[in-house]
Amino acid sequence: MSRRAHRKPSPALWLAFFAAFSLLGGLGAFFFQKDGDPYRTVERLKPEDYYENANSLKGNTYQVEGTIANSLGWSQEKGRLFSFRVQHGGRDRPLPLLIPPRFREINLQKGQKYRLKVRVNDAALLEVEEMSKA
Amino acid sequence: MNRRIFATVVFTCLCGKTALTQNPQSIPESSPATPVQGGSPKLAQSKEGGGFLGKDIPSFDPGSEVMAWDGKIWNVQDQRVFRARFEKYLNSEEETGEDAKKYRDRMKTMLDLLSPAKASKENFRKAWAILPQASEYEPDAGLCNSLDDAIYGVLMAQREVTKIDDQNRTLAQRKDTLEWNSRFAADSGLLGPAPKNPAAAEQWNKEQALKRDMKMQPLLTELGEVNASIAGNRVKKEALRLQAKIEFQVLIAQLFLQRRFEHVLLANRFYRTLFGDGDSQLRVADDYAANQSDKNKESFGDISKLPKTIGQLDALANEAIRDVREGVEAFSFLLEKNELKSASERLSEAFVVGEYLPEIRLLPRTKKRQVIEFTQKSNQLLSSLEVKDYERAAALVRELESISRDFDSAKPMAAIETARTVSALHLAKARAAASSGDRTTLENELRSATEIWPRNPALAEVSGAIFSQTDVQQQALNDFDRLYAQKNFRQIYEDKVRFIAATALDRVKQEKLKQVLDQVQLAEAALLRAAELAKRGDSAGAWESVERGFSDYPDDPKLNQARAEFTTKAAEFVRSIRTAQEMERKQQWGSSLAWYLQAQEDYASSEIAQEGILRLSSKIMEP
Repeated sequence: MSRRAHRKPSPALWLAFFAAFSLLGGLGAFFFQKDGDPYRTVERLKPEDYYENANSLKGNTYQVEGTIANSLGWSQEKGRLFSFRVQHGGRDRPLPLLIPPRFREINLQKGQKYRLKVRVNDAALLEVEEMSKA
Repeated sequence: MNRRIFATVVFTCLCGKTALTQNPQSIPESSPATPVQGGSPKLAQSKEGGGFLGKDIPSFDPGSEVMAWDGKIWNVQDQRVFRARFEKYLNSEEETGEDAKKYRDRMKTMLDLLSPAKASKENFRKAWAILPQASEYEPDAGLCNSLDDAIYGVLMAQREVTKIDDQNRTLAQRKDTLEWNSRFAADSGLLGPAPKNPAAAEQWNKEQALKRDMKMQPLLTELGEVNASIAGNRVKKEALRLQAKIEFQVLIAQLFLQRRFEHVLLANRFYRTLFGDGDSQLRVADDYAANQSDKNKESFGDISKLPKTIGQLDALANEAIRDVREGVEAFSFLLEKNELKSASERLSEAFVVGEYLPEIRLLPRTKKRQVIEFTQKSNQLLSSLEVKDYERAAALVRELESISRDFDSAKPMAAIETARTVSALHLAKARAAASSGDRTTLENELRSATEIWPRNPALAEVSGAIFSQTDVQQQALNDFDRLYAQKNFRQIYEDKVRFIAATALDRVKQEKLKQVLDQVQLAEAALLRAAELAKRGDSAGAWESVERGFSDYPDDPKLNQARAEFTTKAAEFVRSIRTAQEMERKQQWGSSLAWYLQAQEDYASSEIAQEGILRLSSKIMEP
């Protein structure tokens, strides 16, 4: 028994074990990642399109991820207007972002990163429907 | 002799001088050199009647030295003709030549021969013989010849009178004969015996009477004719004598009026010799006095009370000669004292009266020359005052003061300074009118200034300045209107000084100019700021500065040029701004705001972007 107890595992076993572990880690990571993007079914907004003609995007819903830049205005009825800087194509593009009053509980500050689901409203503004910290 | 008589001498002399020279020259009464006193004698202006010298008798006002005649007014000192004549005299050589000496000797000899103490037929003939010789002297002007002719005329008349006397004597003898024959004829009829019968006697008497009448009738007729002839001859003789006298008197009066006083004395002595009847009544004065006006009488007294005889005329001539002699002596004395004004006046007075007298003619030219400069300058001063050249007049006054101790500058300087002051006043008003744009007043004031002092140096200067200013002003206003219509505000800004001055009186244009200048001023400020930012490498800021100026003044070429330049240097930023503005114009608020935000990313200090962001944010957040 003791001789069997002192018997070293084979390298092949170790290799197989490592491979299995890596596979499980990779799968886990894959699945965990899929679960962290809540708007993975929503199309990402291309800022160039918005710059080009925001009116043509009215009614569409997009997801965007970026950083709160500046507060541009506030209204009790309409909520808060921010400049939201989006990284795209290797450069930051600021976009106007309207955060409706229902998100008033959320403290929004410059520099905070958010992942947002937005809809281009009737005024061709990006109006937040859902938001989560990135 | 009283002053009244002397004044008469002066004016009669002047009458003669005027008659000798030319028509009198009228001098404007307003002339400062010839102030006519309010009390100057003004003569009755009757043109009718052909009396001696007409009905208007010359009058002389010794106070103002003004003489009036026939509606014309002279100042004795100022009359151009007199001044010229006096200057000619001052420049002429004294008459000391051989001919002049002979002439004066002859005149003296004649006067001596005809003096009352030496009066005789022989001396008369000697003196008469000298007359033609004296007449050869040119300055005598042939007056001795005229006198010679007059004497000859008198002698002719006297010869005629002698003939009449002879004729009358013959007629008287015939008259005596006829009277004797008549008496004889009357007596001879009574020689025969008368019939006894009364009827026959009566018939006989009738026949005798008829016979006597028949004999006497031719005698009585002839006697009447002789008597008539004698009476006619007497009248004719008296008429001839009177005519000869009057003709001679007229000559004497003429010589007196011509101021030929020596000739007056000579003619008088000839007259007395020729007409030794003691009748020395001056008949020509009657005509003269009959036409004297009342005003003239007030000034000079009744001329009818003045010279009435040849003797008085003789006395006046002697008085004039004495007066001239004294005047010349006074002249010499004043000359020694360097009182040229008084010396000149005394000599001119003496010259007026005794131009042809030896005292005047023999005055050395060296003495006369001493006052010529003063006289010439005085005359120039008067001329300057007459033509209102006060600058020249003032210079002459200073010169006269320097050369003559007694020159009184008060009167001319008063006239000069008054004219200067009034002219300056008008010019000041003209300037004020020009400043206020009152062209009518400007022209009136300039005209007044010109009338007062035509050669005022300031006049040309001021009027030139005013009119050039007016021209420049008008030109500037025209330029302003043109440039404003062209919206060439930059050019207006470049010439702003000219336009500011030109539009000072035009409120509408002034307001336009202010707007233009403000606009260009802003553009200039934008350009300056842009240049400063460009120096620091801030092309976006430079563009933005220019762009802001451009929005206010899009037509400025400088702004356009700078805008184009900085557009290329800050292309991304400019694109963001322009796209934002374009989107805003299309009411694409989202895209526009995004572009403004992008522009702010490109150039954080952008005011255009900031304003756009604020503007759109407000719009978006509006309820």
